[in-house]
Amino acid sequence: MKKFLFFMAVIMTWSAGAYKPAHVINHKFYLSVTKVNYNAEQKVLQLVTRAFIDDIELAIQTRYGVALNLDTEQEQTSLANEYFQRYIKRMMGFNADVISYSPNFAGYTYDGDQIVLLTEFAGVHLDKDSDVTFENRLLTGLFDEQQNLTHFYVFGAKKSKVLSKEDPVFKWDLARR
Amino acid sequence: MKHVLTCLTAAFVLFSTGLSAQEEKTEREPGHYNTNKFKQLYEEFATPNTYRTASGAPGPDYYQQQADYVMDILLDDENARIYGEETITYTNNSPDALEFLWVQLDQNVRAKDSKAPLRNGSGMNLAYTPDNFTQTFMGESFDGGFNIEWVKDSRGAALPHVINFTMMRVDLPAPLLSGQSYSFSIKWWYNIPDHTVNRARSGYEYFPEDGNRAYVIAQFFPRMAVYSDVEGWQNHQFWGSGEFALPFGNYDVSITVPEDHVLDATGVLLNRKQVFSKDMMKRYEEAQKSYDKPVLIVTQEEAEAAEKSFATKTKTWKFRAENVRDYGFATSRKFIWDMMAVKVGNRDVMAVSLYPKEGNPLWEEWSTRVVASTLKSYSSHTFDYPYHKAISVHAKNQGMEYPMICWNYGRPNKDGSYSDRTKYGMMSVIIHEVGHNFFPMIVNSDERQWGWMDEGLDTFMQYLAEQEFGEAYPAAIEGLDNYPSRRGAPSAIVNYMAGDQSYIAPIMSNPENVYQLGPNAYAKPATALNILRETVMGRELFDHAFKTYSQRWMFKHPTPEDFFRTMEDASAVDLDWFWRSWFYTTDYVDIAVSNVKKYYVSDEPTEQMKEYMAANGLTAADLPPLVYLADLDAKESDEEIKDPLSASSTLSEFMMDNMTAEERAKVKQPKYFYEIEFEKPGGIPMPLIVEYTYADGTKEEVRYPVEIWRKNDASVKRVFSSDKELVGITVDPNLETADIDTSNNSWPKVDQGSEFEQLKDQVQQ
Repeated sequence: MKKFLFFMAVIMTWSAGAYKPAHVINHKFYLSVTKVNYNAEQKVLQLVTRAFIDDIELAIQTRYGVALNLDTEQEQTSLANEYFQRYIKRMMGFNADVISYSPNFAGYTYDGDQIVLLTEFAGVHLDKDSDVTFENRLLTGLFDEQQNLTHFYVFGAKKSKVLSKEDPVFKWDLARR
Repeated sequence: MKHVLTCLTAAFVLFSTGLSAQEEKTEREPGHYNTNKFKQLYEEFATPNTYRTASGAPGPDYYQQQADYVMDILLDDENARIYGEETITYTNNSPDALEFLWVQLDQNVRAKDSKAPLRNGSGMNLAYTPDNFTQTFMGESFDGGFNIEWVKDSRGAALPHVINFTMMRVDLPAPLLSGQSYSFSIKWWYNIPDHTVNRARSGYEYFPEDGNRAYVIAQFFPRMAVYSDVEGWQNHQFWGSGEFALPFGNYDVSITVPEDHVLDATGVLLNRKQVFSKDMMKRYEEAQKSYDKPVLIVTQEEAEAAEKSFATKTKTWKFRAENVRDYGFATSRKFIWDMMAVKVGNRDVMAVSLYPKEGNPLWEEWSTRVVASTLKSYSSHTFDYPYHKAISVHAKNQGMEYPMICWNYGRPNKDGSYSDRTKYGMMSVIIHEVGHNFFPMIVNSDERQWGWMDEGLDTFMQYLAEQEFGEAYPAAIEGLDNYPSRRGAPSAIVNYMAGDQSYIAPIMSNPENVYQLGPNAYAKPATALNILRETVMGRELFDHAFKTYSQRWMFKHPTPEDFFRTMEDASAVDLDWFWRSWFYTTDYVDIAVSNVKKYYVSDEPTEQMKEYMAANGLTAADLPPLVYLADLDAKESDEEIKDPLSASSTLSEFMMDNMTAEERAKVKQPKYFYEIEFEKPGGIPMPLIVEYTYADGTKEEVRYPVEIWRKNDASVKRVFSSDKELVGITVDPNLETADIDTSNNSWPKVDQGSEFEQLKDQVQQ
């Protein structure tokens, strides 16, 4: 896990500071919201992430040099899915009781000026006393002030935390939920 | 007969209070303060006085200070530096004697020794790119901030002054008494920042292709701070997030720039004939008569030619602005300039745009038209726009407002193509920033203390103006039914309101101290006002009250209470509960339908009634004739439910004895009786909006007033009768209240599946 973290930090900081739109002024704030829900029946972790369309577009553009033209007539869904899969694989990680899981991108849709990204971690076995670690570095390489609000729902309990560039990891000992 | 009725009432009261009343309590609970959500806001609001009345209007002793400026400004384009000399005449209309004056030096937020970058915590990264590392640890910071050369009195003698970060105290030789004026002068210069790098609200953008800069200049002169009855001297420093608090005044400004620059600014241009060419004058006269489309004063061709001229001679532009709270200007040899006239009330106002060729083709098409439409929309909801022009200047990544002039983003790609998002982003930001002329440039609230008073009100008005722009220019929203507004719809605020409470601040917070300024000062207050207008007050009452507030405080300095009080004063709607929950707390809306019991009319006492009688030693003979309601779910026979008159002989006898045949013919005969329980897990009380669906497929909406929650904040029961069977109940069916959890809004419970599953279905469709 440590190795993974270090690698992420290196690749994510290269573009920091390259693009900083005026914030207060054009009413911009750097926030995404991710709801993580453990579906105990299907043994799958289901993630719904909302982020600004512009920010995600810029992240893909900066990272891969590909313009996805999201939410325009030029948009190609299959191309977007391909790059989102690559991007999410780099940005998100999940770990329970020393086992690491890899995310699968499950599609996207829009909600106003936000894009809604769906991600799954399959085959996840959680117990009432599991130790879980969720990592989310979405857009933190692009914006120093990016905040990734995470709500984690499991076995009827909920815990929230704001993840950031400095602190991208959510930890929860379910025995103490 | 009267006797029977009394008995009946007594029996029902007894019965409905239930059996639990008989249980004895052994321990006494302690008392408590009034924590009712409907309690008046006496503790939160300032006590009304003769400056500001309880009705929310300015009082008989209301005063405001005046600051008049005479300024000479010189732009050194080659070195990106600005020089200025100003004479401020400050008039003390307060009843107090002032020993000193406070002047704001907002540029100092960019000084080398500025504390502003140190006000936020930061953490060490595990690794840095060389670029990022040098910027963070090895870089020279920008040498910004005011260099004050001197401060002098009107006879030329130096005035003692002390600079504290972004503010300067000027010590007066003798206190400035009530009613007196004092004139003094300041000379200064500063290095203009590149606004595209530093997120400054003003500065320049450099265009390497042609070697030119486009300047959008503001906060460029030492400005008087506000002295008022609520704050005394405004003493909260400019840290970067909380914007400005400024007194009104008149400005005489001369701005000297290279002679090939095109410039526009706050105020009336006094020497138009000297700075305009003959062609420009002719086009200007044409523009003043053009109400349907902009007329170019400087064409793209002319602007492109000017890009190469790099004049060394200068030209001075002279302006006079009356009753404004600030001053801004934009200048560049790259600017294209267009204007059109717009009728506001019985006056003509000029809608104006300045943009480099990089803004085209988007800007020539839409900017000035958006300005014109915005002036009309806002005027109709507040007061007629009182100034003679409104300018929209194209500046990369900017969205910033000043009197009569604002900077706006929205740049097409290099090949001239642009996405819908760029287009609507540009239109929305122009509407928003032009709208700021009303709030806070004219309704002059204190932005340093309250970001929401201008941003929230303006974002609310922006939503209305966007919708009206879409109606006025269908070509602008081709392919859509209405303008795609980002903010305003209640459902759009749900994710924020449902967020982690430790990262949400009440709207009534200083802009420096909130976690997410966007939703806190813009989206949430705008949504709250939209809900107030559409769901709580209704458009007619709201619009009148909002207009009353705007007109009462036009060219004055309102506080939050002045707004809250006026909205109630002009509508006779007590809104203390609304302000408390939406503005003073981080509560959210969550209302649920929790329990539905079904009943039918019967002649026989129910089991529960029998138990009650037994417990009280009563027999049927002790009771007057009663109509009984039996639990439908406990009904054993398959017999169909009868209407009440057939089911209850007591009832039919009563009617025969007490009503005429004509009256009997008119009675309703509900067959189905329900007791419905609503719960309120959320802290905000809201009107209870319920949609009832019947077995025949018809629907009925009932809106219970918010006062339904006044005696029990957690849950409430309603009895409901109908001649049709009820098959469904939905709370807030049109998503009007920003209810954060709609999974508990339906009976019978609709299994919505997880949000993920629902969205996944959408994706696959």
